[in-house]
Amino acid sequence: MTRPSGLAIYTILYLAFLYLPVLLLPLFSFNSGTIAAFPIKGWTLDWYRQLGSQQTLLDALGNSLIVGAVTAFAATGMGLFAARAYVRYRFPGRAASEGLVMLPLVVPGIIVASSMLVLFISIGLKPSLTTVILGHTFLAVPFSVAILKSAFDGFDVSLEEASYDLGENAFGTFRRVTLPIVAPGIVASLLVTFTVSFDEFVLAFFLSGSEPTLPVYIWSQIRFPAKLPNTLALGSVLLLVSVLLLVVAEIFRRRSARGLA
Amino acid sequence: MAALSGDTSRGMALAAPATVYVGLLVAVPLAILVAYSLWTQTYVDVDRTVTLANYQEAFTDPLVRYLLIRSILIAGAVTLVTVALAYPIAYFIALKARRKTLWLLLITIPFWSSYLLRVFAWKLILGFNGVMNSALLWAGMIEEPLSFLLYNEFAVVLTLAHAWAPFAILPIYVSLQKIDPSLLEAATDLGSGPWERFFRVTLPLTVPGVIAACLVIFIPTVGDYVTPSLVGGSDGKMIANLIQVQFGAANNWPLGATLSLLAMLAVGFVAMVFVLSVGSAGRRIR
Amino acid sequence: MTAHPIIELRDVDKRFGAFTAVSGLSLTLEPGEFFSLLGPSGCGKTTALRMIAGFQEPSDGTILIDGQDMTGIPANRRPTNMVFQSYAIFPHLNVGDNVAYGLRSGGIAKGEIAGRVSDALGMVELGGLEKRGAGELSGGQRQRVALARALVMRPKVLLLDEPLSALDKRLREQMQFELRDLQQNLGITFVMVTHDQYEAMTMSDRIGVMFAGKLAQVDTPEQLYARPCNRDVAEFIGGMNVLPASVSAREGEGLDVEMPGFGRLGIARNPNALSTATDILVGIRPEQIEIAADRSEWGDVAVQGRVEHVAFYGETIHYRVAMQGVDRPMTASVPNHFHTVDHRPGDSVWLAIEGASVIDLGKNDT
Repeated sequence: MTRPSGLAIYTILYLAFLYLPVLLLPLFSFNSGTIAAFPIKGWTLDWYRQLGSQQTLLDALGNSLIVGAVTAFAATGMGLFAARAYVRYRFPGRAASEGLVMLPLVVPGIIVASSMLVLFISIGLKPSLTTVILGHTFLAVPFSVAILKSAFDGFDVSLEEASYDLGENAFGTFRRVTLPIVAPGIVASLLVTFTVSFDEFVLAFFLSGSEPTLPVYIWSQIRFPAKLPNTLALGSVLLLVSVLLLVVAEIFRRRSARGLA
Repeated sequence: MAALSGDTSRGMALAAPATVYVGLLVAVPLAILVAYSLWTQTYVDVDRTVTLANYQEAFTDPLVRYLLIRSILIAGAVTLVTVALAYPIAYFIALKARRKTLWLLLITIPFWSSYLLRVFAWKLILGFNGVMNSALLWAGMIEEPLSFLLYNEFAVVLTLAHAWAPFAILPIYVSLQKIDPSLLEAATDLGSGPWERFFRVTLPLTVPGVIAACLVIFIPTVGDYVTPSLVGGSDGKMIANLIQVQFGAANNWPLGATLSLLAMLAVGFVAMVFVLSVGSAGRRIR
Repeated sequence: MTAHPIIELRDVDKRFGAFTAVSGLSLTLEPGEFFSLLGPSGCGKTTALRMIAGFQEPSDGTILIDGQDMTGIPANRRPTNMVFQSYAIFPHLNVGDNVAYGLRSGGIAKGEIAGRVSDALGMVELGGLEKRGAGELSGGQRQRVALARALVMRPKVLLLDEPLSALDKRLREQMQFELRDLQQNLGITFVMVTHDQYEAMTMSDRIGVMFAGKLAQVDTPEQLYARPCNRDVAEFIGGMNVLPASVSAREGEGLDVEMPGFGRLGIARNPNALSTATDILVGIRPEQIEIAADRSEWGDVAVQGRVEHVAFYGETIHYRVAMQGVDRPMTASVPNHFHTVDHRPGDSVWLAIEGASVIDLGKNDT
């Protein structure tokens, strides 16, 4: 193998920089000492064992799952229709709509959070899981639109035209031709929007009231040094779950892509 | 792009849910924010007489000005560092790497974890008794823990440069990918060596990607709350912390609304200036 | 005036892993000639062109340009310039900056650059369009800009990679003439790669026909058409009826052959297809067959048959005829002089040929 180029070496160093914090969490979650510092005192699984018995933690987890799931479906649904419209149709205001739908990505979190809090209170909606779902869906729509736009981009229109030509109607074509082909994109969108919601903190912090999501729960634990190892264990579990979701999404996408090639 | 005939209304109907949802949640809260910014907070209640008192207070309070400017500068530094470090990676993956999807995956995996956790991890790394110091002490490279690592602007910039990495890499990667390889061959054919090719052809063609990356990083960073809270200490506080206090402990929502709007305007202005100047600089490359 | 060939390829090979794209390619090109590399997709012609340009290095063999060995010399330092198939117009530069691109690398004075750009654009009939944006150009205009950009560099050799394939028919035909005229006026060597035989024939001084990485024949268009060296070349250039035949005698410049259906015939020897085999293939061009309802006096031999299919091309009419004693149908074409289609499917006709127009295609390998 030829000597790796300077660029390749730089890339590897950069990757190390990217992975450093993320690998440290699991590393110290097995540490029997209570501070995250070298040298490692000993190895233990205690901190993980304790996770399962903490009711507040499990409640927060449940909340995150509910919020994530609803957000995923809501955002993916809206994104699916919007993406198809952007790629297939011409209509006045299309460019404006496309731009608008991407806005949540660039508005600073604090502004979204404060303005939504103000809005919901004004219409009488108290902070709760519902408000979090509304907020998270807002954040997740651009992700869904971006993923599904590229799914539709690669989609050959003449496939649908052939379906019409063979006698199928619009709904049937959508169900038998479009949907199966775009399915990997839909799954990817569901997984991405779920993860966006699952990991999101600022909006949830402002909007969740008395039912915290997991990140909000973690935030509340951060200020207690004694709870550090627990927090590390929880964080590592969260990490693992997120990565697994990604890997599953990727495998799924590839298998579908091969099947359709 | 083939559009099925006569389906303008179809297109609009399909795009409607997303557009309306996002539009409403942008427009209405904004309108309410504006309304609140024109009201004032009395001890218990909100006085709804329209007044510009909040704006006056914001403009005259040196702390607000200071935090706003500092937030913009920190965000600027983060943007610069992140994009500069990210460009070579995007270049490597787009033009040199063979298994691009694998590399992109590798880049994004660390970020499939909670942002909060990552900032927390940096807090652990940079702390006085933290990972970095204890490792260096253990290895005998320093005698006393370094104190400049945490609770200041350096920590904020480093943490955010890490957090925004994929958001910088991906847009630049996409615009590098789009470059028709025959353009680079044509440049070679006309006498350009590798560096000249990069500066005269590749770089100008990636300006849109670079601008997108800069905006995606700069704008949200100005209003970031978590990072300055956890690793900023008192030196590293940013405007978002002040805003959060108004909605929390200080219970002055009108002022909070005012600060939010001012922050948005400031960011918008800076972003516009940036896009225009980078855009025209890029156009001058021949 | 150079004493040596402008381009020489000596036994050039190019392998990509287990796949051999070009094998044993040897070629000599004279200065000022318009040379085409012709062949079906995948035959290696583009790879050969790219090796001359310097975008690929040969796996074996040498390439010399103007007497200089190009081994190890990268593309940006060769005295060649290329017009790319996709034109590769820089989208971020206007027409003038595109054409000036190569000049700006070389430290030439600004005033001189402007002058040369203007001249180059004038040469391709795009004078005055310096400020036009790249995105505002039509296909034909993009092609001319690519041409101007390459020519402004005053290369010793201009390489063209399927330059006309993206244009519509009328534009293509017009550009064929223009490119040829341009080349003659400039006196530079042009090397063009194309899969279109008519394009190659109308524009080139000489053509090199390639199949599967190897050069089959290098000749003028007339010679290639009249004396193809084997069946592949014969069928690739123009239409050709190919039939088996057996040689009964060889003497001097002629052969006596026995053609099933037609009988015995004396034909000329093909210096490009030397063979001593008894079983050979022969070819007859469709336009050299006479088709008539009755047996006329014309021709050396004739066979009766039935019209299977009539193809009307406007200028010519092609008849596919199933022949008695000949195992596959033959195609005869006649000019559409009188604007009548004389024979219909199902008609009984006579096809007559002259020995002088039957081409010896060498050993029958099928």
